[in-house]
Amino acid sequence: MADLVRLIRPVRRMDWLCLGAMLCLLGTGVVFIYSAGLGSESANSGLPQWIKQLIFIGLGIPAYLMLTLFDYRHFKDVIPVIYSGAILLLIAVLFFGITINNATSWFDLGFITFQPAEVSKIALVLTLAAYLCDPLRNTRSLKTVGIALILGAVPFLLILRQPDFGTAMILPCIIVSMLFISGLPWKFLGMLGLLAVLTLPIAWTLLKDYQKERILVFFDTDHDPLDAGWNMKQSMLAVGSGGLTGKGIGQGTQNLLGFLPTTVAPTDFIFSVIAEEKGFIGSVWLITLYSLLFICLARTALRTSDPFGRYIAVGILTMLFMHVTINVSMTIGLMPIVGLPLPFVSYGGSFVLSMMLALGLAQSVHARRD
Amino acid sequence: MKKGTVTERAKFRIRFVLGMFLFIQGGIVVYLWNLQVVQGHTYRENVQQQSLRRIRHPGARGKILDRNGIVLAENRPSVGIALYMEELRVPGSMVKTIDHIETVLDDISLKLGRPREVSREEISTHYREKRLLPMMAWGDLSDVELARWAEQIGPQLGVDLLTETVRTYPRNDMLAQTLGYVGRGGVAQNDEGHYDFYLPEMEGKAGLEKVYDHVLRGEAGGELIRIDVGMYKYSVEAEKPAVPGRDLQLSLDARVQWLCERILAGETGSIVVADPRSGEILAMATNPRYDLNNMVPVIPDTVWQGLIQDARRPLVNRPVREHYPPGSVIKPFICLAGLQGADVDPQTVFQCDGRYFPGPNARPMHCHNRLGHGPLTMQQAIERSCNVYMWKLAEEIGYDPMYRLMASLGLGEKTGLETDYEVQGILPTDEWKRTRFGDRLRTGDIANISIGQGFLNVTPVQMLQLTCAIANGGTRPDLTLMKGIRDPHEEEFRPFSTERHPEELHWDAENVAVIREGMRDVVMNPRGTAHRTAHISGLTYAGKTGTAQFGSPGNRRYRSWMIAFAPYDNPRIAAVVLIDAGQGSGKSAAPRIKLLMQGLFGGRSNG
Repeated sequence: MADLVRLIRPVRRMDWLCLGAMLCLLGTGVVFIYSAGLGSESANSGLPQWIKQLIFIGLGIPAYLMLTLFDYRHFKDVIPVIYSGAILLLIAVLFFGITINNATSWFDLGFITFQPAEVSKIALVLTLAAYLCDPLRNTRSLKTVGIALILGAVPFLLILRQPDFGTAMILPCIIVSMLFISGLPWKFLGMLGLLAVLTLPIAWTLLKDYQKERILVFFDTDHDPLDAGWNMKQSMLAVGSGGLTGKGIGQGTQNLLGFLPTTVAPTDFIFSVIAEEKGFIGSVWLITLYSLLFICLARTALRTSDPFGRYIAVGILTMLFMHVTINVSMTIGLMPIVGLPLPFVSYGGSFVLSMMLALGLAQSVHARRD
Repeated sequence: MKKGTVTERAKFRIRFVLGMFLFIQGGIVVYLWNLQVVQGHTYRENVQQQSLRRIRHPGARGKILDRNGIVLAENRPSVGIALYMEELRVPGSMVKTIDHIETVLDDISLKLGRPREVSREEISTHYREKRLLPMMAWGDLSDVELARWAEQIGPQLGVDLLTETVRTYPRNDMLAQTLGYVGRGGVAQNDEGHYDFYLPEMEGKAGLEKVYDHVLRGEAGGELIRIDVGMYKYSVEAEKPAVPGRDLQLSLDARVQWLCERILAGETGSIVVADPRSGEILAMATNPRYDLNNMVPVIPDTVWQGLIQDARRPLVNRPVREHYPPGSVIKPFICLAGLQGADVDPQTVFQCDGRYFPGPNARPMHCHNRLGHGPLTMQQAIERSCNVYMWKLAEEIGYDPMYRLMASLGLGEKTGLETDYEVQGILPTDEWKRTRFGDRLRTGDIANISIGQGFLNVTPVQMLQLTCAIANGGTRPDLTLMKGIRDPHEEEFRPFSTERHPEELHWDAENVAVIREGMRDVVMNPRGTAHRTAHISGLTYAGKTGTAQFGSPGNRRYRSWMIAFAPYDNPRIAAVVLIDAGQGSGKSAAPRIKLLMQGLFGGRSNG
């Protein structure tokens, strides 16, 4: 009995607000995946996407709770395994993965396609957290920064190789954010910024043509409106035409009429569907929920007395923030289209699962905050 | 406490990061407010522009009926087989869809027993430019074809029957030139609003169909169609039903028209009949004619070439379009000019010796009776159509009274009849002759005018206007073809126009009586020029014949006129017959007036 009480204790201490916000986002996602699917009449046979999404959520919640119950500190002991495992998966996907939309990013596991890059982000958060939390480590030294950068550079380059520009972009942000928390001096921060600027021209040459196209399109929407610019233009029309209250669920004409391509409407452009059908109110609803998640994660980082946990919370916070900001920005024309889904809301099995696991990890930290 | 400071610094930096993140989220919200709320209407308009299309549906065209309700022009349903592109599309390239449509068409063609009528090119064009609209593959199916459709083909995905309306003229060639026809046309001038697609609409191309196009045409309705990204129809957002056009009732009597056209058969010429009391045209016949149903919806090239190359010019609406010297039919009016404008005594006798010298050294002009009519009063002169009397009368009164009378009766100007292409004829003046020939009107010219030759030119309807005025005792009628108009779904016609302007000419009743009696004698008196050819028993009526020569001396031919009104005492009918290239009035026009009177009044020939 006492064992059970001890086992359940973390659940009682978990961040309910965080859980609530996540469930709200998941629910919103299912509704609009359903709505987005109205446009494609029996395009793909089998289960509708919203039901598939529900199944993954159903799988994700027990995993989430189990991770909450599991003491995250045990991960510290297996960091080399986690990190090298993630790297191996990233290498393997380049050889055995399947190619969708020009990017070899997925393993086809039959019932589900799995994207190792999703796991690698969490693995990098754990690895960096373990590396930086060592009390003997001088986090302000150039050596620490250099090692952290190398730890991040390996998965970064492998993901860029797929190429998955959007996901790759998240990694440097996670590293910088975690280093910043560790007390990185401002001058290093400035140097990192300079480095990033200097790398840009090199990065440009590494980009594939279609990626360059997307970026060109961003600076000139009429560059090629029927091809690369099409999605951005139609997405902006969808969001803009939503108005204050939107056209109603299932009434978004941009999606129904196929102007917003049915392949991306439930995934990368789910925000456009929501913004069109629920208007500004719907947009604010989503951003409020995400902001609540950010606040919860920051609160976890602030309350926990364990530096490992703190770094984990900050890493996850940054990862989530980057996903949300990049996705929303690209659908409203503030950024080039990079093909990054919206956490908890976009359709996609492995993505939903990995995001739920990330929050589960944060809950594990939160439940053991003192 | 170094560790404490580290933690404090970390906490500060966590708050800093969170603050930055929330600030960025706030920025996104502000941006969204601008995008969705402030500029929302712009985006909504753009969305509508790319996903809404307007299609215009023309209103059903109004009917044209005669005064008794006999239909002269109406619409009939025409059933065809149409293709619906949104249901025929094949995923992939456009070529696949076109291929598929061709396969479907070939299959149906085989079963229908009718060759394909749309080419790959046409399908492709329709598909590219107006895939929202059904495409007619075979129009106007016969009963046999409809039966084959029902038994072997039947509606299938993307292929179904479609009913269109086609203008039809139940009386075929009756009143052809006046009624006119319709053709594929543009958009009515009074149309408002912008449309992306226009369904075929009929437009009046000639005759009354053209003149009253704005009345016959309905008010267009429309459909607001939501299209998907492939430009296919997704849904109908709004519909505005088209309003049918108004029906027209002509003053024309189809039975009289039929009679006149029968009388004209085989000749080139015109017959116009009016009620002198009201000025309503009862018949406006011309020959040759053409079948109006050959002209719709599109005039086949062979038909058109045949019509324009026909030397008898069947397209011409002779009663209004052609003007000719009136010949002797003008003589009663020259006499009336003498009575009204120059106070000539009708009992004054002019001697006809068969010759007349217009000037001291001029060559003589001859009467048709070379031996001379002897002494004649005005009434006798009309009865026998004496030229010398007219010349002497004209010499005495001068041109002025003649001109004034003819002008007051509307010669030299259009009658204003509701047709297209009316001409005004020629009522010569000094000024007119000066511009044409650089000289004033000479005595010889005036002498010629007094017997209806020379420069004076009139149209048959102008002549009808003159005849009506004599018949009704001095009112210039306001000739009209129109009687009534009714709005769609109404039973009763209301008067077409409330503004009719007959003009009272204030003629002296005694003067008119002299002319009328002279014209009566033309038909009724055994010595009258039309007695043998036009008299019928049981009907007293009046008339005047006329012949105008034309053509070279070697190939001299005659335009044969006759005007008439009946019954003599209380005229209900005024008529003008003109036979082009006839044999002289006694032989061509008068017998046709006789047939007309027999037809109208049921009298029998007196020999």
